Parts: sequence; C-alpha cells; structure tokens
Amino acid sequence: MNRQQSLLPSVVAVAIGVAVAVGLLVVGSRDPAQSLRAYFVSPFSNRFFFGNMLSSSGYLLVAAIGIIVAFRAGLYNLGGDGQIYVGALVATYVALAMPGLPAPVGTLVLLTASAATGALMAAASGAAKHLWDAPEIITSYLLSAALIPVADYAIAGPLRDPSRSLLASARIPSAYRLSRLLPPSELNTSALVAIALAIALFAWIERTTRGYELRMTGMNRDFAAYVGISRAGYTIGALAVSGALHGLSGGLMIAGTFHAAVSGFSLGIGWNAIAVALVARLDPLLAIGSALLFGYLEAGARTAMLQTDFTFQLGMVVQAVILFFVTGSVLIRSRRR
Amino acid sequence: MDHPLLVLESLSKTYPDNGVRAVDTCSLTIDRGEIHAIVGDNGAGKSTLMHLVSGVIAADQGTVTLCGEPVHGTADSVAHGIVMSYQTPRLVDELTVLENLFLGEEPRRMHVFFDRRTATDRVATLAPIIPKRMLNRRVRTLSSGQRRIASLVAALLRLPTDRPGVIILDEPTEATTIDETEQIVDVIRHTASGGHAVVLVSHRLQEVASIADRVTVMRAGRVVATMTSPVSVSNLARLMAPDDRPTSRPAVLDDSVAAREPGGYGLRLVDVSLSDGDRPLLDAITLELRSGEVTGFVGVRENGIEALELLLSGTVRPASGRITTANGRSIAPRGRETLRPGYVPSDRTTRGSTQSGTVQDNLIAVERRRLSRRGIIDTVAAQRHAQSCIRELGIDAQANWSMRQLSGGNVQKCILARELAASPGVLVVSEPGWGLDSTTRSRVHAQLRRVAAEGGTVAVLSTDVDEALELADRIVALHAGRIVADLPVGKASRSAIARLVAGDPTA
Repeated sequence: MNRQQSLLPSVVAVAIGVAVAVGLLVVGSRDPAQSLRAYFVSPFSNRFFFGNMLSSSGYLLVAAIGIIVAFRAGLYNLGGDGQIYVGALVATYVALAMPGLPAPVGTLVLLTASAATGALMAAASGAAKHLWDAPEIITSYLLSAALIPVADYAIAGPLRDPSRSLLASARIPSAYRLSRLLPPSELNTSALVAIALAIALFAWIERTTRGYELRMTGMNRDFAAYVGISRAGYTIGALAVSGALHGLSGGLMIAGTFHAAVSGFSLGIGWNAIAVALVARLDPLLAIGSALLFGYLEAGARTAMLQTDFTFQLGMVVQAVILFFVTGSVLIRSRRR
Repeated sequence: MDHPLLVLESLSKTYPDNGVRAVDTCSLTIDRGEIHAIVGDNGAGKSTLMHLVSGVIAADQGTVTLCGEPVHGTADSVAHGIVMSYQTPRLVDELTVLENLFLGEEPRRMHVFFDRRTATDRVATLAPIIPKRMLNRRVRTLSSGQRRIASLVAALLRLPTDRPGVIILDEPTEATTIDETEQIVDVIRHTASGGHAVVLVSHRLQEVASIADRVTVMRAGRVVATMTSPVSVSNLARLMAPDDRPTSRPAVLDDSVAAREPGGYGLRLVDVSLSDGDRPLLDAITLELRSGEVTGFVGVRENGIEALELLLSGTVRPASGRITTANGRSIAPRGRETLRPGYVPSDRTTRGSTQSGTVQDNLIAVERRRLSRRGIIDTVAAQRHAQSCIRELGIDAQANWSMRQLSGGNVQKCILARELAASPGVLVVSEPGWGLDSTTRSRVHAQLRRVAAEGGTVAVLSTDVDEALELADRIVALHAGRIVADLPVGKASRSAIARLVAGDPTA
C-alpha cells in the first residue's frame, strides 16, 4: 500500500480541523489576529509553552500506541480513558504506600503498578470476549466508565490530602519523580520513554513473528485461526498490552508532571489517543508525529485561552472536528472493502 | 396468453474482479403457471442468471422482459412482480417471523403501528404453510428448514395478487426435513396453479424431475438444453457434465502409483457424525484414508461434502466418533499433540487467505515459525519462500502486492502453493481446480499426486465429478450425509456417480 495515499484522509481531516479553528477564532474573537497568533505561534514562543507541549504529546503518544496495539489486532479498546485514570491512581497509591524505596526502584514500581492496572482492566474485556463472545468495544468502555467514578471517590475521599485545596491526593515522594529536561517546563524523561516505546512497538509489529501473528489476527481472525494462530493469545494478550500502555501513560503523568492524583486530571486523553492513532493510520512511528500535532493543537488552545478571550471549549471543538473527519474517512474506507 | 410471461434474451455477465464469464448469452422463456427448473453444476451460472433476472446484478448485455415490458434493476423487478427467495435465507435474526415476512411493507394501523392482526390474517389466507404459533418466534430460534420456509413465504407474500408474477426459488428444499420438503413442494404447485411462474433452481435432480414442467440445463454459463416433462434424472446428469471429456492421467504418475506400498492408513474416521442443530450433516461415517493415495470425495456440498471438509481439516470436531492420524494424533489447526493438515478451504477469501495482507503475508502464514529466528521473521528467508511459491505455481503477482489485487485463480494458487510448501503428511483440498486454467490445473493435479506418491494422504473434496475422476485413486460418493459408493477410480463410471450423488437410488 502506498503510504502517501493512505495518509491523505488524515491530512485532509487535520486541514479541516485547523480551518475550523481559524474560522472559530476569526468569527468568535474580538481580536482575531491576536487570537490566531496565540493559538498557532505561542506554543513555540518560549521554553515553558514549548516544553509543556512536548510533554503532553509524550503522554498522548504512549496511550496512542496502546490503542494501536488493540486496533492492529482487530480489537476495540474503548476503555483507554479509564485505564489511564485508574492506572494513575493506583500508581499514586503504590508510591504513597511505599515511600522508602531507592529512587529508580520506586519509579519503576510505580510505573509497573500503573501498567498492570491498565492491563488487568483491558484483559478482563479480552477474557469476556474470548469466553462468552462479549464485544470488547462495549465491555472495555463500560468497565472503564464504571471505575472512573470509583477513582473519583478514592481521590475525593480516602486518598485526599486535606492540606491541599484541590481535590487531589498527597504528592508522591520527590525521589520517585522523573527528572525535568527543559525547566521551567514540565518536559521530562517520559517523553523519551514514549518515543522509545513507539519505535520498539513498530519494530515488534513489523519484524517479529508475534507481531506478524498479531497483524494477521487483526486482518482476518478466521484466517489466523486457520493457519494456527492462537485466538485467545491475541485477544486477551493484545488487549492486555493495550491496557498496559494506557495505564503506563497514566503512571508517567503522575511520575512526570502531576506528582499526585488530581480528580479528573487525565480524562479525555484516552479519546484523543484514538484520534492520534487514526491520524497516524495505526503506524506507531507516524503516531510520534501525530501525537506532536495533537499536543500542538491542544497547547495552542491552552495558550489562546490564557492570552485571549478564546475558551478552552473552542479548542476541544477543533480536536472533535479532526476526530470526526478521521473516523469518517476510516469508516468510508472500510465500507468500500 | 400468446406470449410468454418472462423472457430473457441473450443475457451475459462477466465478473470484473476475476474475469469469469458466469453467464454467457442465455436466452429463456417462462410461461404463466409454469414450474421451470434450472439445473447445473456448481459454477454453471444458475445463481448469477437468477440475480440478473431479479436485478440484483446488472447484466453486461441482454434484456429481461415481463409481459412484454422491459425490467431494469431490483426495484423495477419487484414492481413488475418478480420476487426471489435466496439460497441463504435473508432474514433478520432478531425479529419475529411475522415481522420478517412483512419487512419494509408492513400493514399499518394509524400509519404508524405494525398491524399484527391484518398481517397474521394475510399469512393465514395466502400461506397457510406457516403454522400460526411460529409467526411470533424470533428467526434466531428457527431450524434451517423453518428459515427456508419463512424465506419462501416472505417471497410469496410479495407476489402481486392482481396479475401473474414470477417467483424465483434458489434451492428451496436445501437443508429441510422430508416433511418440510413435501410442504414446500405443495406450496410450489399451489403457487403455479394460481397462474404465477415458479423458477426453481435446484441440484436435487429427482425432485426437479418430479415437479417441474420444464427443465433448463446450464453448463459453464450457457443454456445447454431445455426439456419438457417428463425428464429422466440420468439424462439431466449427463447433460450437466457430459461423459465425453477425456480423462488425462499422465502415464508416468500411474507408474509411481503402482509402485507404492498399499495398506497403510493416513487418517482414520470411526463412527464420525456431525449435525447442525437437529439436522444430521454426516451420519456415522467410518472410513480409512490410505497414505500414498488420493481419495476423491464427490457429492453435493450440503449433502456431506462441506461437513467432511471441516472435519478432515480439523476445523470443527465431530459431534461423535473419532478422527485420528496413523500415529494416533488428532487433527486441528493448532495444538501440541495435534497435526495441522495442509488444507485448501472452499472458503478462499475469508478463511484461506487474508485479503488485506500482502501476497507474502499470505504465503508465509503456515511456516512463519520456520521462517523466523529467535522470534524475529527472517526477511530474506521469508522473501525467498514467497518467491519459490510464486515460481512453483506460476502465481501472477509480486510478493509485495496486496492480496486484493489478485484474481480468484491466483488466490487459489497462493493457497495451494502455501499448503503444498509446508509438505504436510495429510492434505485436504476442496475443489483443487477452482478458478484455474487447464495448464495450472494439471500442474496442481501433478503436485497433489506427487504428495501422495511420496507417502502423503490426500483428500480431495469436489462437486466436480470429472476433476475427482481425473485426480483420485479412489472415489467416495456422499449423499445425505452417508457414503453411497466407495470404489477404486477404475471401476467408477461418471454417470453412475453423478446419479448417486444426486440421490438416485437406482444407480
């Protein structure tokens, strides 16, 4: 398949999304020139904005490659948002419960806890699909939707740090936090982890035998079964890996940026990750670029919101428009087949 | 009443994706009140012809006229009173029978609500074949025969009431019990006596001979003959695939067959049964497939061939009985203590290949582990493997092409090449010559015979008796889920076999 051709719908979707952003800024803002500059230029205007942009792109990328693993196996993990949030919460809890570990070990334990949480959540959907043919697109969403309020409760109740005015837990030990790369911005080593993971996943999918088996399962489950590829392995396993990456994304956010579980802090990232994955045509390497693009659009919305009369909802409209057109083009393509 | 009801004039259709000329200048007339049967082997073009009449497929050439008026497209054909009941009943599983029968043209109360009473009454008068208590069951819960009846009635209800229409029934008695078959035949007779024309596509030749007023035989997309009742089953079978085709068995291969060791078995079936709900597909089959031999299974797909394909390949497990290999292993696509037989499925694009993958993706699928080192696919070895498959069977494609770009015959070659390259001890091949030109076909035959000559066990499942006779050492004929003949190929006469698989007990 010709890669440029296959990327065309993504480019068109992003272009329409940007055009809508420009349109909204011009129509809805009292000072369009100032708003446009704030939206499109300010993310590059200083180290703080630029670093934050890269940092949020990194978290998005980890979640996006999580979605890619599921999609490439022909599975829909719609519980990503909850897997990130609950993963982050469990990571925070583990870090708070074991404050005395040596620095790198503590970080590793925290991240493993987040990944394991996400993996368990998604694998539950995989098992339900394998055992009872329950559609994972529903169960993963429902499980996540059910656990998000539980996490909210934990943050507002048992885990809340009463000395803070936020609905948030206590902060994790400073030894466990990831080191900053571009102070005063939030950019930290997690962005490098994200890129490394994307490259590793690309190599795994394209080069290894198991990656091949995953691809065949995603292309045609009946064919995969017929050539003797394990159905259970690439249903439960692929969803577990997908969930682990989502959970890890939440853990990285805690260790890298937030340092505490804040009520609702990550919600929405799981859905944006789907858009990132679709824009990248489910290619982990292209997802690096697509995550940067989404990070940029979101950073633009944030700075425009700070500096002008632009509201954050307008920024969400732009992302929604891109998601709409990208999923639309995917649906049209699959119909044609 | 002078001119016929339905006239097909030199209809032709070539499928663009594989270039097969499925229907070739077919002309046919059908009268009011006539039961007109269309018979022919698989792939003879019967279904395509019917789809052209109902407008589901657009003809490349030719016209369809009803009562002297031209008919174009589905909506037009329904408006003219041409209705069709498909080979696979098209019903909505989650709706009730009644809702299905009136789908899209429900009688309404106050323009909104489905008027169940009117609907029920209409079924009771027009199609009493459906018992009232069945109407409120969900289609999901019906047996295959009941579905078939529901689909037939859905078509009946769409026939015009004020003028004669045409009802096309594609295999209406397939997968039905004897009682259901009788009921359906009654309905067919009743419909025809009411002035409508019934076009009956069937491979149950006996049934056709007993109820049809006229029978049209199709072969390779053409109308070969139209005969008026009474017709004989053997006559029909002969016309469907004439005996005069020369069987070309290379002498060299026959020598190697003579030299092999007799006696050893490669696959043993003991009391193997399989059923679909309450309908038996295979009934206590006991059989040994000998190694060093090509066994040709012939019959109608629904009469046991399809079930046997799934069992021999290990795709489904028998409901009872056992299938074992010579060294006591069972067969399955995967597993530690099992053997994955080489398998060319009848379902070429959904199971036999992955259409969204590349040719190479498809060719390395079975031997992916052998072509890998420490969990990483050895790109060079994989490419070499793909190239050798492409060369071996003359696949008309590059390794990096998308499988979707390949014609049906080339897809078949890819599957064959992959399964042959894995050099399996047991090889199960459905319709080996499917979509292949004669050169490739004989090349494939030679390869299958070589697998046998080297001690392999080869099972060929075919609805094409000629191909089975050409390829196999031994012919096993199936009808109604049972073995009706098991002969060395030398003693098998093609017409006798054709009659046997059509269910003619006098053969």
